[in-house]
Amino acid sequence: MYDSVQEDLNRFEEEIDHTYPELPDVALETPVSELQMRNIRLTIRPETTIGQVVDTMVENNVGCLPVVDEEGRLIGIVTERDILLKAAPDFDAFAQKPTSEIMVNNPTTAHSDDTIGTAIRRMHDGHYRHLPIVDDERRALAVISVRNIMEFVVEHFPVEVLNLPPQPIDRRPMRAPEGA
Amino acid sequence: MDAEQLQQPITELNIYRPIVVASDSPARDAIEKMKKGRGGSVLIVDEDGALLGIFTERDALNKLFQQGNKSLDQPISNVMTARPTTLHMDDSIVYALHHMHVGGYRHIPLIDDDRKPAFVVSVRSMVDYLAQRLEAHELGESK
Repeated sequence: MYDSVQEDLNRFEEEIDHTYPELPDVALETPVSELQMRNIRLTIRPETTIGQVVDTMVENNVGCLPVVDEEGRLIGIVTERDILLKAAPDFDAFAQKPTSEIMVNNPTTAHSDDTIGTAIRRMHDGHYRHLPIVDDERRALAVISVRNIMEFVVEHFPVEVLNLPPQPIDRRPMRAPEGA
Repeated sequence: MDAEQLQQPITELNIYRPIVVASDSPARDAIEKMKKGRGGSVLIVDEDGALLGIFTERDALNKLFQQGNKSLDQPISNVMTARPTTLHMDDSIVYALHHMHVGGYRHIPLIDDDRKPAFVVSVRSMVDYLAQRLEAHELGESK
């Protein structure tokens, strides 16, 4: 009886397909628009004050905002790194100044039809943590971040990444036995 | 890139040396060091160099720059995240991914056996690694 069950289990284990499509192939075939992006309608104008930008970033938990003209076309981006490098530590002196004073003009972008692989290359080559996504009219659709790319990897390997103990096994604190 | 590569040590990624400050340093000094070092985080250590906390760009916005909540002369220990999640250099890449995903962290300190910080692994490290894998894939290497 036991041997029979064990044989079934062994056969079942052999039949499980543990393989995934190659991650680079998926990245090179999947449009960037399929990444899980948030706040796709969150944009600011160049005259928005830096203080308002900080409040918007904190309230929406984002590290980058696209700056658009009156027709919604992308003209720049401002990141928390820009704020730190250009407005800190004397933040009071900058809070009422317009975003146009610290934003990055004409940033590198990806089109919504570009693949995730293209976006990864552009972020890597330019050392960017954020990449605005635009349409044919260069209207800002979204901003993807390095976190979106990281989540893409996690979605590709959910079993490996999620089924882990909180710490590597050999470093989990030793527990004293009951009564010790 | 395959599941086996996730088991490689974190040192296969582009990890970087941490910016370190003492716990009684003013927040202003920590920010200046972060600017000078162009890092996204500073690590706060005790007098023995052991890790106490982490302070990131996001913390600067959330805890110091947001309107009505500014005091750059307070010690960095007031605004740091204490006892951050850490890893060791011989841990595998999959643990960094796990903690970044589950905990929402962008920077994870890598410490030695004395809890002294040696490196930091960031979400950007993952993107750089993936870009390298993409390039290798296109050059015809299988992994």
